[in-house]
Amino acid sequence: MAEKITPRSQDYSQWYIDIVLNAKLADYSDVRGCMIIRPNGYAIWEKMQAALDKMFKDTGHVNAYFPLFIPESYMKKEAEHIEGFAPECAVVTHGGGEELKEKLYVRPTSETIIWSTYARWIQSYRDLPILINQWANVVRWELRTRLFLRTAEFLWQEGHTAHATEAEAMAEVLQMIEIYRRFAEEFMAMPVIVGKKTESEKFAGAVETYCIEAMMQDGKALQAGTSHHLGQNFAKAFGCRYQTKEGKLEYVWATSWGVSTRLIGALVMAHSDDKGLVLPPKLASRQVVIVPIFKGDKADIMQEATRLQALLRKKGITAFIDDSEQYTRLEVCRIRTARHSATCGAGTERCCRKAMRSGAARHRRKAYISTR
Amino acid sequence: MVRRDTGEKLTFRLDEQIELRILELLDAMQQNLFERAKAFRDANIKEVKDYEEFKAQVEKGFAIAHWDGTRETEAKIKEETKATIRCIPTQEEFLNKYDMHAEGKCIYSGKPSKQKVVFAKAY
Repeated sequence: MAEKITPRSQDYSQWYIDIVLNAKLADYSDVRGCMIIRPNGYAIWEKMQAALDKMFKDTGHVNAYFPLFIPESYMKKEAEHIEGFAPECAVVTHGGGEELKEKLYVRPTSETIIWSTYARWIQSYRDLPILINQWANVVRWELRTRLFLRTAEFLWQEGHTAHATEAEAMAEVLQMIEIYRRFAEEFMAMPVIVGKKTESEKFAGAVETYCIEAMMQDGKALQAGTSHHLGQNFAKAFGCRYQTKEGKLEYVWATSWGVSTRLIGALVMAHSDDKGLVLPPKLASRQVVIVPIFKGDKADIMQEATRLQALLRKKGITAFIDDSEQYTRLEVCRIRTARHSATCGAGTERCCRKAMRSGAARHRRKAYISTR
Repeated sequence: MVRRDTGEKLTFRLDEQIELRILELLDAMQQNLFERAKAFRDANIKEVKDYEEFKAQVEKGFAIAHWDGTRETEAKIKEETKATIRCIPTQEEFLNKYDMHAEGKCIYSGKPSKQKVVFAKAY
């Protein structure tokens, strides 16, 4: 665990790692390339999820969940897709102690498993559109990893929609990239450039990829979200056709779009400074920290701090009372208590009563409940 | 009260609807972080005229440059500078600001180019 934060001017990469570790957002894991998202980091993800999920639902999308494992034969159905993803896939060859008849890919993204399913679900124009989003983990075997920004396993959401016409699919692609732009700018306070990827940078299997690009404090770019127009590529690969109103058979049009826990890395890099983490209020799990400064009657001051906290909470502001001075004293007291209990019972009790009188224990509990 | 974004110290009376003052302050902080990040970004986007200028610019920010539209040029630039085409912008405001549709010559090959694109090193 880093204790001091390296200044940005000295080493930007190290500064980023120091911030992430110091703020307890994430930790390294023994599994190569994988990270542990700590409660402080996960709290940011939950805030992001809540805001995005609402925007998805407000535009008619619903959530579902598809399997983690994808049969190799599915992965191979769309030629460009497998070519793009094969080098970074984790593949399961054994299960239950036996070699599998067909290898299973750990999803790097779910187009194939979802389109094999849509092919069963879609028969007629009445079955369209399908507007499904999935919150999930995916695995991409990265060799050079960096906390949040590039990890072998990460969390994300992936939307997969099916449409009767190309125009409708294109409208969806543009709607979703606009939602990502709004989320980045209004929630993350991070300005982005919206645009299209070139042929060589687009998603493997897409006709067109739209993206949002942000600038980090070292002037480097970070791709913060993508929305793909998949054309009829996956529908053709999986034989997904629908009957039009006129009774003709047509291939279905597809889109997919996603953002991941990489956004947490972007958020850290966009706003933090040499003192530590800076979060925009809309994504901070502790928007206000009340620090009681004790002069005179401590109980009075704690009462006032708690009153203020309740007042803020009523307005939807998350306020946290940092009475760490009290906390420290109480801890000292507890340690003493443990030692004393063996030797002198009376001393123990006095010590505890004194702590209780200060009101610290009660108030501390209240404060914690409000922030978890 | 101390703002984390600016370090500014403010004094409020506890009895004067402090919750409303704090709500305003949180909004102002959200806005300030966005404005600050936008000002930084805009200051570090530059249109470049030649490849030398391009190479210097992608070391510190985004470069807006003409590109001949070929994979070969894109790959060569990436190989030589580690910078990639981040996107072909589509927002009206951005297109106008940097006159993205103006014709010109590719920064690398010198061939005719119908559009400018955004280059940068990326995470």
